[in-house]
Amino acid sequence: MSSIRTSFYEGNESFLSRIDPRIKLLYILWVFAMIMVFTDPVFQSFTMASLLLASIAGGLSLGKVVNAGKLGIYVGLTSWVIWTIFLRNEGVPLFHVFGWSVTDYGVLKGLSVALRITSVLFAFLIVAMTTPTRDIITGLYGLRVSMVFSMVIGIILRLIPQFQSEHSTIMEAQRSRATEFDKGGLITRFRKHTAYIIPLTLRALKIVSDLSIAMESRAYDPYTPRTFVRELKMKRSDKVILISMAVFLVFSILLRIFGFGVLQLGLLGSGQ
Amino acid sequence: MQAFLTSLLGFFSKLASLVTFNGMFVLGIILSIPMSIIFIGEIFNYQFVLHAPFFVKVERRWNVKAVAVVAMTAALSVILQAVGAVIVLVPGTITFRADALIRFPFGAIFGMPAVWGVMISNIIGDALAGTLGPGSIAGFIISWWMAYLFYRFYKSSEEYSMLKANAWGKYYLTTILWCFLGAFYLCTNFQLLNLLPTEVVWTAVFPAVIVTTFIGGLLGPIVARVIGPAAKRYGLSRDEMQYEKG
Repeated sequence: MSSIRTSFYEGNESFLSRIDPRIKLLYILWVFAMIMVFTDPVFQSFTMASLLLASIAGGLSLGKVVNAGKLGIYVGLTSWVIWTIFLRNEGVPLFHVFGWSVTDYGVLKGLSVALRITSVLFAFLIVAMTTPTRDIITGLYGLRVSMVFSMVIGIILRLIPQFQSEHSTIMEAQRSRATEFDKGGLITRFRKHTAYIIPLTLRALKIVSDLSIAMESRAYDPYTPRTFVRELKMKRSDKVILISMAVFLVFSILLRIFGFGVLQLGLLGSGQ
Repeated sequence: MQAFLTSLLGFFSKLASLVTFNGMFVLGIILSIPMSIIFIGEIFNYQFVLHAPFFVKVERRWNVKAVAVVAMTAALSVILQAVGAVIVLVPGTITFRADALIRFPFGAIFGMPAVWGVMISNIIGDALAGTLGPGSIAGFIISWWMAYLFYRFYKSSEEYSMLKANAWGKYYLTTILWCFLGAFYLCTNFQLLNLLPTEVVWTAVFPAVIVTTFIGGLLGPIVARVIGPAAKRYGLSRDEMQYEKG
């Protein structure tokens, strides 16, 4: 099993890294709302431009951002191709591939969906690459997200590498007992998987039991307000960004209500 | 085995075509509305019951053990998701979902904290794998339902430890029930969000969700048989945790 990455933080000092984590978390929701408001890629491109701007403001290399989200890009591209194939009889034909028409409607509809699929992912990646996990948790708490939820996210991100190492140890132990996980028919291979899932879960129970004792001995109470080393305080630039996001979102919703930003036929073709 | 799985996929795909895609969508909407209402009710500790007033307040209190169990369920689920993805059963369609092996029984063994853990694992799994998107919302709600059905249908420790013969039968029936509910919910949302063409949603995604998850959960009772009593010994099972009153 390839190791699971639990932090995307790059550690660069940049304009974006200094922004209040609450604003950055709200930015992810803003991107989601903005990309869902419009179906026309021309209007959606504004949100995509904001992502480009954010990655520049975060001092991030575009190659690294794209690499981190390559699976999402693959999903988006697949969806684009599927839409183009399924809408080959709607809209103005642009060109033909293997006797199938590629229409403007298919291309634009596919692009619109692909942008929807990838935009939220890239918003998350840009925020995660410019914000340490600790600040994300503080930000969640600052946004009045349940204390338990914020705490749990922190514990999960620490447990994943620990469980991963336990998983590797168990796999090695089973292999040394001559268990061959990739040999045999499908049912045999299925059955073999319980040989690591059960020990791993039992180890997890022990780890979590110790963890709960440690937390209890430090008088952890999920209902008591927490204190943080770094207190969150919004700067003027944070407030400007927050207000701008709100204004753009309201404006976009109004545009959509008045009929703008809806995907129309003939945008790429000779006009219909 | 591969031929059997492919024919199973074909069967569900034909079933969807027979009902018509519009019919499937309407069915999906009819199922999705109460599923979403029950989910929202549980966020505010209101539980659905079959008699009037249909939603009753449940007294719950987070404690250290409950918090730890949420984190454990989510972390294990994320890891098993990554492990399972490498075992391809039918190329391009079905991969082995090892996480289903714990997602289903954990709801019965650990109760609501595991239900929330399974839901969180879906969000974190998508975020870490780089597949977070609009479809993730439906994904985390159906993941929540995965463990929730077991939480509601299993009560005593003999049942969730699979000591009774009928607990095994109940396990597979509940798994099948989820496979349909989950597939309908996910596909209806995909169609609503226009993520894929309707034909692809109902003839490819719908059968794949049903078959993948059922196969993944097949050995769940064996896991529950070992983990159920162990959880009780560690004081982490739903009865020992004291997360819920009454």
